[in-house]
Amino acid sequence: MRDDDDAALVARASAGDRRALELLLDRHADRIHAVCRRIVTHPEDALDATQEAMIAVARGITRFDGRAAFTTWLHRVATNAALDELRRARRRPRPVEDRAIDHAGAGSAIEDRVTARIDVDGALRALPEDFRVAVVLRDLCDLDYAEIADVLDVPAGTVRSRIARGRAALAEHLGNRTVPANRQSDDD
Amino acid sequence: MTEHDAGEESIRALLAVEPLDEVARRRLVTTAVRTTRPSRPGRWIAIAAAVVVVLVVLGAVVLASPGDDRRQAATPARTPAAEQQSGIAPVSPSGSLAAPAAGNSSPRASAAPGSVPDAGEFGDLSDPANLAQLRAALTAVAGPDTTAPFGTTLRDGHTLMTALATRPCRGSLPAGTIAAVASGTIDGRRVIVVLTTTSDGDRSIDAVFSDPCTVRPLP
Repeated sequence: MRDDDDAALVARASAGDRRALELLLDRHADRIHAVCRRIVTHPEDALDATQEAMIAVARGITRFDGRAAFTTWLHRVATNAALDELRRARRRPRPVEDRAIDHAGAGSAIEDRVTARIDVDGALRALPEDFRVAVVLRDLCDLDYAEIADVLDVPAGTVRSRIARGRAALAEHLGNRTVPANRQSDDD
Repeated sequence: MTEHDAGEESIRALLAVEPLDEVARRRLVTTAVRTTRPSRPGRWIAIAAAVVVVLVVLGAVVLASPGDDRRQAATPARTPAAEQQSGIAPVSPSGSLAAPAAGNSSPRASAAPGSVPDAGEFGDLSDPANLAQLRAALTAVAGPDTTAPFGTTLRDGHTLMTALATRPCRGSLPAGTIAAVASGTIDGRRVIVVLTTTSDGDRSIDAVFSDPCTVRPLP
């Protein structure tokens, strides 16, 4: 139903219907933001990346040819916007408190959960970008390997490898509390 | 729940991102939509219409410009007003000449190229014999049925008519229908000889000189 709705909105937006474009962007705003938030890891930069991604969708919707699924194209646009934002961010000076968060001493379950949420940015930041993007697209966006391969324009085997190694690195950075480090792939 | 399922769920829970607040969402969406220019089909239609109008006007100006009988022939449906403006008397499809426009002080003969026979080249027209041959030939080819005498090949006067059209003094030709043309020389100068049938039925044979362009009736 949602895909059907997307297709109709995409068709109308491609034809210049600004209201349809607005509905389409509003519908997928959280998805775009989530991708950018987890790839960029910095909240403010993620909002900038989200804005850039939305602008790219708005301007590029007339060129969307429908060969790929709209959501696949959307994830590609969001991923590229996030990676562009990362490159821009690397050229900017960053306050010290943004770089690392010391979460030693967390005790209760609630504290653990809050700390883990905060720390996940640090853990993701520690991952190589390729791994981070693959893990985010798989475990946040729930794309399958073929879709991720399409988004990243790499072979599916490469995607599989990046996800496995990314998850392992993520588990290591998080202190092996939540992610099974030896887990290779849920699709294996 | 297996260990893998639990691990997958936990990592998804870790990666989950809270939805955007409504203000931020609206701002992001509005900004993105605003960057797209609304399609303006009306603007493109107006541009296309303007281009067509310009082309039509240019075409009309080119076709109405004097001095090119080929273009005149290509526009038999031009309006009398445009013809008066361009200084060309209206010509019927058969090549007959309409009455000169009111206010036009110089009566002119004209005809559509290709419809006027060429009687031929008659050499030095100062020679009475050549002149007599010219008169006879013009009269023959410009007979009432405008057909050549038996055994005579009737030539198309297009070339001479085209040359005549470039001569500004052609306006000095008597008013009427150009029935035939010929060529020759007078005092060593090339001339186009024009047989004109006037509206009252008289015929006039005139020589059109070039450099300077003058019209002189032949004896």
